[in-house]
Amino acid sequence: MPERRSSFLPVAIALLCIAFAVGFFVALVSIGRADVLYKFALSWEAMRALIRLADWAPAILLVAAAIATESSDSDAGFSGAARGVLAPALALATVLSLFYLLVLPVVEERSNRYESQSQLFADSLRAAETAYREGRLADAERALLAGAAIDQLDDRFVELSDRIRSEAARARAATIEDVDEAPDSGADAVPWRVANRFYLEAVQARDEGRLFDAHYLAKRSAAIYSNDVNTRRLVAETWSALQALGPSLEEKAAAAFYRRKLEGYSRYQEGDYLEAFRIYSELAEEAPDDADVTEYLGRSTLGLSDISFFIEEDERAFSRSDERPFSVTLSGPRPARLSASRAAASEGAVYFRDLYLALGGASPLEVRAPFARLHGDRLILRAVDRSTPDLVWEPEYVRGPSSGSGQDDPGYAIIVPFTHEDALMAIRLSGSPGDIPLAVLATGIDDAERIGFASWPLKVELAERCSYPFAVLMLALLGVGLGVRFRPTEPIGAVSRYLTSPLLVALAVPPLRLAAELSAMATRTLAALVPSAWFLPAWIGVLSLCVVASLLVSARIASRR
Amino acid sequence: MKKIAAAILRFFLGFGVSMLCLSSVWALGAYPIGGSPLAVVSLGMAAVAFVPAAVILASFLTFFLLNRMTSSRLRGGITLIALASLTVVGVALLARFLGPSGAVAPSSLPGDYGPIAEWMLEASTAPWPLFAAAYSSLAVYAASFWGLTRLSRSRPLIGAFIAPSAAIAAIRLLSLCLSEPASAIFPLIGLDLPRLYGQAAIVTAGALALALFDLLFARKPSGGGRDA
Repeated sequence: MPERRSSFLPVAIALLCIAFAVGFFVALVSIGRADVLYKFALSWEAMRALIRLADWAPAILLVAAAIATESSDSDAGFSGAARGVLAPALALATVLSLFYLLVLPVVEERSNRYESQSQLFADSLRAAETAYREGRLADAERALLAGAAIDQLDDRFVELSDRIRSEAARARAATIEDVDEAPDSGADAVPWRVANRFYLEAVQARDEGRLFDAHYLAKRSAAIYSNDVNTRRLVAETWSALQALGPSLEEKAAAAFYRRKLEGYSRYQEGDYLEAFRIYSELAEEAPDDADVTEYLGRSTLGLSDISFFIEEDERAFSRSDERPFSVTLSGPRPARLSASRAAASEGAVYFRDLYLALGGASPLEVRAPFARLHGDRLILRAVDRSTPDLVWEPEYVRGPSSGSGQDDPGYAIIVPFTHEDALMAIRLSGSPGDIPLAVLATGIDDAERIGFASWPLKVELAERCSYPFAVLMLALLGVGLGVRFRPTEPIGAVSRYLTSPLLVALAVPPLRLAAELSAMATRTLAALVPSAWFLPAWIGVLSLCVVASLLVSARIASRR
Repeated sequence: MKKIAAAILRFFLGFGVSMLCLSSVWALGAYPIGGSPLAVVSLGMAAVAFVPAAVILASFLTFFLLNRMTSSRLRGGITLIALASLTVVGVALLARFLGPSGAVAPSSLPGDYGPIAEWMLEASTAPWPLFAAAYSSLAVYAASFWGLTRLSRSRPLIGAFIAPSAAIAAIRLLSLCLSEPASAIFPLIGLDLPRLYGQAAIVTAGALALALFDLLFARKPSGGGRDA
């Protein structure tokens, strides 16, 4: 007699599709509460639907196995029914396990990132709005930068950005006008009177031999009231007198430029790279083609990079990656504790904000810094604004020597007992364990312990992921047992059978969730009892025993038919 | 007689396994490995507190056997009520006479379960009429869920899927019935009942509602060794 094909796969696939659709609908309805940006909306909804699908998949598997067995030949016993269902169940179990192990962490990480970036965007807009309302336009522009890195097309961003920029432009224009119009204020509002006053002062200065002042005042008078012939003559006369005094102004300017170059060079030779950088930055604005300036600007930048970093690097890093609170604790001969309100990785380095570092050992120290960068094992605690080199964020030493690697370096760079790769690992491990990729989870437990992370949440997560293939197998067996035992007493139409399957899935979800919680508790206990090296084999042993037990239980349930 | 013995065995086996699982899970949650040592008194009090949950779970495990064993709702219901009463009263008497005086439920019990644990321990030391009212209401309540496993005769699989969720719901519903806001109904309508009587009345009312649901919507148990 030809064997009837099992309805397991069609039922399971149909239920998985329904679960995805329901999950997508729930995400669609709840997106307002999640406050996700419109730009991310569709992707976020798809990710949430996949997460919900993963949540319901075990129940779907159980129901599909039960319905497939329930509708199979009534003479088939547990072993016969199990044979028919297990082959497709194992195929689906493999697909689902791969989905759980490889896809779900990425999906969860994406979903969390969309939410955190939307939150960051909203925070940045709120901060910019507050600063704008309080008249702190520079702060408002700075706060907008974080939002700009996320979504520049959002209506709220565009509207606020336009307001802030136009206000800032107006403020700058007003400042320039104030400077230009300063002589017109008060009683000297009439231009020719002011011009006349400057003219008289210029004449007086010429008579007293103050030729520079005389020329300057005559020029100002001419700028205000240029129709006066006497004023124009005075300008020409004082200029001629100035030229007759000595070297030309061009020569003087060149000499001053050379002196500044020399000063920058001296600073560079003394190791004061920041001052050298400031001088050469100024000179580069005046003469961008000057070979010496270009050369020494590059060299001072290079020198500066050993003890400082540019704030733009930090902004770039934080605009590209997730921002997470950071904490690393190391024991050993040189114990260390490093924490930061936020950390982000970029271009082979890790950047920190609001850093706190405490180092123990022979030379203990304690330092705070608003910005810091870790590259290799070198922690740089000073940040410089490249466009305004006078703007520098310095570290503040609470305890210990403020010198790091040498006399010329007052503690701006410290060699720490961990590397940026350790910090990268800490960033990866500091999120939800569910977001951590399997490879990091499998190889990172020892590193996690070394850098002061509790290893049990990682072990529990790893154990949970290892249990997926076993769980789906157990559920398929249990479904077969239930299907054999609770066969319909009267013939049922296929439509009513399939229409009730979503209801059965909904009924199976709460007990399976409870079972998952109990399993997590068992995993935690095992993680506390068994040494790290033996944990995974022990857990797989426990799971194998559970599969055997579920096989026996299912056979027992089915035998009561 | 043999069938009755099987039902008794199933119920007590279910009760024992449920007690063991609930107590172990609580102990693991409340006293993690390497933490403070587990006190015997706390474990004893937690075990007594878990009796209502274990009785409900044991009843659910017995429902399917009763479906195959008897075709009379009354006979099956009385069997279940007798088994549940015997169990809960037996443990309560042990707690009353052998337990420490003034014992309270461990604070580390799950928040949702708090009202049930407090009620169980309070009723164990209450005067006899309150004692009887409280525990008989629990027995009737546990038995009243039987009908949920017989909603579809042609499709017993539905009952098999309803039962685990219904067991979880039964424990949550009991917690709700025993909570302070539910007990506050009687003073609101002008009845000055002792709290345990009020709680017994609410639990019994819930049980009667479920029994009515059984009569109206559930199929009769099929008996004769068939699932229903």
